Amino acid sequence: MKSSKVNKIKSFTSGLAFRLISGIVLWLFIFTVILSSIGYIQFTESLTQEYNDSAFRTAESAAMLVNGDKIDEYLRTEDGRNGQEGSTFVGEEYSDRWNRMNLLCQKQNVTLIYVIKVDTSDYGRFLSVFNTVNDGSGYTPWEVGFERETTNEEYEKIYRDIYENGLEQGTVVRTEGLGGREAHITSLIPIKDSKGAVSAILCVERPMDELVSGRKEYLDNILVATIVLAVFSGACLAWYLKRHFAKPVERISAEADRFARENCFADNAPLEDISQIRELRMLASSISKMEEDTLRYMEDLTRATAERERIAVELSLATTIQTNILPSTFPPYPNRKDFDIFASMDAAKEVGGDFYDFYLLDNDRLGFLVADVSGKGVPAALFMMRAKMTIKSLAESGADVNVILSEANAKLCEGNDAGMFVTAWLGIVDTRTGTLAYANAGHNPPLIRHRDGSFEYIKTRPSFILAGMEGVPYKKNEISLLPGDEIFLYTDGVTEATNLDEELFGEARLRDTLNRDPNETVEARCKTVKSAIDSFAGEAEQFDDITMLSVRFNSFQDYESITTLADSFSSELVWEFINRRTKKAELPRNITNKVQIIVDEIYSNIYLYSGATKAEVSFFMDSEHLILTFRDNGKPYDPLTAAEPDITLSADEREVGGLGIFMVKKMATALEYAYEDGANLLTVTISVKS
Amino acid sequence: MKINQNREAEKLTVAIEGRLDTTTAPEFEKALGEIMGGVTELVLDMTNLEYVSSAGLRVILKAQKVMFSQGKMTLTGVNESVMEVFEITGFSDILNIQ
Repeated sequence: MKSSKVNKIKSFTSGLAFRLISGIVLWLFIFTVILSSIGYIQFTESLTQEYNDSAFRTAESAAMLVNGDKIDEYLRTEDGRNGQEGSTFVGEEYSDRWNRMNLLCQKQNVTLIYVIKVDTSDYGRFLSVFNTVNDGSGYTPWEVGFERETTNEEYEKIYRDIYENGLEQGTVVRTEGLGGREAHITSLIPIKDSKGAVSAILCVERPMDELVSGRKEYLDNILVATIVLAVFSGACLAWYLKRHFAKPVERISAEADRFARENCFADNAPLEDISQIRELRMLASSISKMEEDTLRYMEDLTRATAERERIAVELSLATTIQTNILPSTFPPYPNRKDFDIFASMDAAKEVGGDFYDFYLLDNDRLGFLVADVSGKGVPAALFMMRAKMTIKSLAESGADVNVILSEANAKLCEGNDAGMFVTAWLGIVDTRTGTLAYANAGHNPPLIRHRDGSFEYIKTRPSFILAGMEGVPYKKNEISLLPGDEIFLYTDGVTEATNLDEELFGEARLRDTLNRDPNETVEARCKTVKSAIDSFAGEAEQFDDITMLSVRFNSFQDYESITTLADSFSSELVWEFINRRTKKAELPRNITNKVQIIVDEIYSNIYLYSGATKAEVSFFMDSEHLILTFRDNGKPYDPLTAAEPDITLSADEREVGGLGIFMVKKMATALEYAYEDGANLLTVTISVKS
Repeated sequence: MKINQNREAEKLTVAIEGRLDTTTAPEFEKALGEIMGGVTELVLDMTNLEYVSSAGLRVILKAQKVMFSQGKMTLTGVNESVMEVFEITGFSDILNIQ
């Protein structure tokens, strides 16, 4: 209770109104005090001066009655009688003078007029020469020659100054209270002889009664007036300030405070007509405007947030749609054992521009591709859908890879005002023969691993991107795959994945990651690469979509091989194998014979001379070629470098050595040799076109 | 591989059936060696010979060298494949092919 009362008082005394008013009243008071003091002093001085002047005039008048040369004569007046009633005056002049002086004294209403001769040795004594008193004063006039001690030092000094220093006028002021007498003023002037020397001093004492009463009256008046004025003006001011200033300011501050707490408009328009004072009106209207603005901003913000949330929901929906559009069931063709395929796409933003695709175009042909649309987010995602569907429908029409890309390019250039473009690598493999046709539209080179080998980049010069420009040519490339070969496709989100030190994952690292384990499944391969990227990137953000496709060819339908011990018995097995395959292929007799001769030559070389323990012969055919491959684990031997026999020699001179290889060289269309992973690999190609 | 021989005094006709390659050539060589004695005219009938590889060529060359000193050797019924081989290897210049 007490403290709340204290708080109330505190809060009141800290208020604007109170401080203003108390300040003004205080100031008024001080001002009045100062002013009245000045007035008081001024009044006193003026009046004193006035009295002084008056006393001096009287003194001067009186001085004319005194003959300065005759002071000593006056002092020799017999019996020292004064001008008392009933006494006889000695010296007519003296008497005459005395009477006149007395008259002056009465008429001028002064208390005393007297002339003294001061003892000039020490100014400590004086003799009365003339002495007149006012009838109403109650004094007794001194006798002539009456000796008296100087009243005090002040008089002494004045006497001295008059006698010695030529002081013409001396004044002694006595305010009330000294010795119980009223306030009075004494003027002293010198009486000079005819030589100009001071012979006596004439003094006039005047009461200052009017001064005192006047002053008192002044003070009383001033005091009363001040108080009245102060109170009145204080009250007026207080009222005025409170009504026109403090109250509006209070209302404004109350409203600002309320708004800060409630954040809504007030019901009662508290700031209307708040004041006539311009600044207060401005303040009030500013506050009203700020309230409006604040509320509007809050509304806008709420709306914007709701909108953003809605967009986020739609985007996540879009992500789902996009994810569902890429084939994501693995294995996609479970009945097909001749190849394994796996692919993944991790978008950087909710929706991305990368995609992969694969399709069985007919029973024998598998198409697969990886592509990267410029940009990320919704625009890239939309263009990606378009590109994917365009390419797929062209592929399903049975066209060649370069034609597919060429026509896809034309279609995608149409209506491409946004200037998007897409890189792509498209391959179509004939699963009977292992022939892979591919075209590269500005995309990263894929990696290929031949069976028992390691991953290397397929470095063919890429054609231009898709949807960049119309009429651009796309080049078709062809390679022959063998069972066990693997291809790995990816987008630059893999090779350009960055870590916090701004290093790139890079092509070398990708290759090395793939080569770590040659026997991984295609799915494991993609996962290995992904986790390698993740651990490389660390805390760094994923900036680009990461897409990869891994495909391994286990067998081709038209491809077959036989593995044997490298001995003469096995050569019969090999002969039977070749016989069967050539029959199945319905080859003409002469080609069959050729094949058998070649196989005989090479295989017998292997088991006779190479020291191999194992050999493999494979037979592969497509519409134009028959490819025989011979593999053995014997000592390295490159038949291509064998010296050719001189076939022009006569029978006697002829050597038979080297003839076999020579015959093979002559009968085959092409011969290739490699020594890989501890094995000789000889590839013989025979043209079978009719 | 099958060998059919027909000896008429010093003329020996050997018909080879099948193929003459690394597997079969040693057998042919051996057989030929047994029956070539005293022959002044050797005829190799290749009508039913499918093909010949370098191993076969070796045997044929050896026979030719022997017959140079003994008399003469003739090859008959050479088919396309065999002829091709003879030509590639220059044996067509050495042998007497009819």
